[in-house]
Amino acid sequence: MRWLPLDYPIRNLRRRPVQTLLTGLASCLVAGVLVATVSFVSGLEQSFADQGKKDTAILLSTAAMRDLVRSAISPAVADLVAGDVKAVRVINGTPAVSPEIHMGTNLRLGGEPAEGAADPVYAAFVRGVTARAFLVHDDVTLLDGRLPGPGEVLVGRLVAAKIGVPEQRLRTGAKLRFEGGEFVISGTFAAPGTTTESEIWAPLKELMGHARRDDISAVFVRVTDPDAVADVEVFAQRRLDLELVCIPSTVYYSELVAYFEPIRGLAWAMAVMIALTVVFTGANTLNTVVQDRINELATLLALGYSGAALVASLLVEALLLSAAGGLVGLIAAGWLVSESTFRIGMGAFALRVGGASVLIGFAGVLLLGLLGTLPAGTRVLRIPVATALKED
Amino acid sequence: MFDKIAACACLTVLFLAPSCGEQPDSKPAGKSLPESYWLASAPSGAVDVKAARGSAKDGSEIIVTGRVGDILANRAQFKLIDKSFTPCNARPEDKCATPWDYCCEEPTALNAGTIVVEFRDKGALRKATAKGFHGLDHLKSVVVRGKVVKDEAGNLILVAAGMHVEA
Repeated sequence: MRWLPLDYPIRNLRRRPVQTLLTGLASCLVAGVLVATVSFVSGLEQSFADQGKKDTAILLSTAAMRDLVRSAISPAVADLVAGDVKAVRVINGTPAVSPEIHMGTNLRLGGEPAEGAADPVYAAFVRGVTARAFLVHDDVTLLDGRLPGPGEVLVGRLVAAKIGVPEQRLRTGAKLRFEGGEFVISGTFAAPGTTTESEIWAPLKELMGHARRDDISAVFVRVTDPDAVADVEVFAQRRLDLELVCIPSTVYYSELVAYFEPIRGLAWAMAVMIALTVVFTGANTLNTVVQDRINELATLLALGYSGAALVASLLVEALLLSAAGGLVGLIAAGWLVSESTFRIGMGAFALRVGGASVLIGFAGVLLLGLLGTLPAGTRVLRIPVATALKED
Repeated sequence: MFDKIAACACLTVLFLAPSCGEQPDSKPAGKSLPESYWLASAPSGAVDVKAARGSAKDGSEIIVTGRVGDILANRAQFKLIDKSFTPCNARPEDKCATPWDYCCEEPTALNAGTIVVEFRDKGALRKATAKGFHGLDHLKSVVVRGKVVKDEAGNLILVAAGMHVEA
């Protein structure tokens, strides 16, 4: 079979620069949307799932319906579980048991403002912790500054993005106000790939005082091996008086991921709808191209080129355009999406453009190029040569 | 686009806030209990859970009847609930996926009608599950004979010597 030379589809693209540019931009858009969707969905899943540890259990109140923020238990639970459960991990002589408060708060930046000055309020998430928290949440690392003392807090590196203010407003040494207290930022922490990075960590006792709470939200318990999480469950069942429920942290965070399933579905639905729009538009464009070039294509058939060779040429044309547009889209998405922050509920997570999202984005636009060629290709195979040669 | 997703996300999360019994019981079953615990017929003289909570003394031998609540997957322990409580699924319009946690009851009242049944080997809790033992499952009616261990807070553990699962 005789094939058309490779420069034929390339020259065809140059014959209709505006049409080529618009179709290429559509491919660019699809690649960008696919990359953004994959980054969003994987970021959403990972940021919650990565917080679950196989060797960690969470004790919270039975009445809280498995919600940390709604939970209220006795602060004594931390010492009781450390004393009763032999499998609790001990690090440098200290049991890895972290009593914590998890709460949303109204955050104000800076010290007390002058009379009449603007004092905007930001919705933020605060976790009240003790030094033991670092024994349980070992993915948390201090980026600068030091652990908080009295009147001080640590801020996650995504807090500024979460509340929508410049990072320098939350630098070490800056002041914050919430729950009626004023705090100085003693340092910034990271917890890569988790929503913990969008939290403010305050000393537990001080937070209890300011929030007028005599209870805590939960106790995070780290045990010696994953099987020993069952021993924490045994403790929670036996101590009926404490009204506790024990949830392995992997289960807790996987349930959180499940809550976001409709959002993931929505993101994919939007991406698919945009992609389908581009397919139909591209298919229509190629169909018009075939109609415009019907004499030319019929002549090629009369010269002995097969229908398959013409379809292959159309396919190369579409794939070249999709690939070029897709590459531009990938570069744009990498620049716009990578390391940007997405706010969700009371948390935030960073979007990262990884290998999977790039692969899916590029493969997606090539597939769309292929699908878009099908109607035009079918038409080319059915061209009646004699009639087509007579058409104006 | 992300602002729109965020708006929809917030709305969706509001609708999907955690509620009663959303976690299905999907834990894998562990080893089963030794056959020596099986009582072919229900022993007579069983008291209900609330009565046992009120009168049983530490170290005494008792026979208790109730419904099976939460069962651990890898430790031989389950909660025994007084039969006067109504499981959530027995309430009209209640679609609770885990009715055995009696989440529709007031927790303090529920705890007063709950004891913990344990199967021990030389004093240590067995690394097995009671689930499946002669058909034992959530909300099944059982009769358990055993020894009472009561702590200072009034929590009652029944260290089982034998058990009958009602059909």
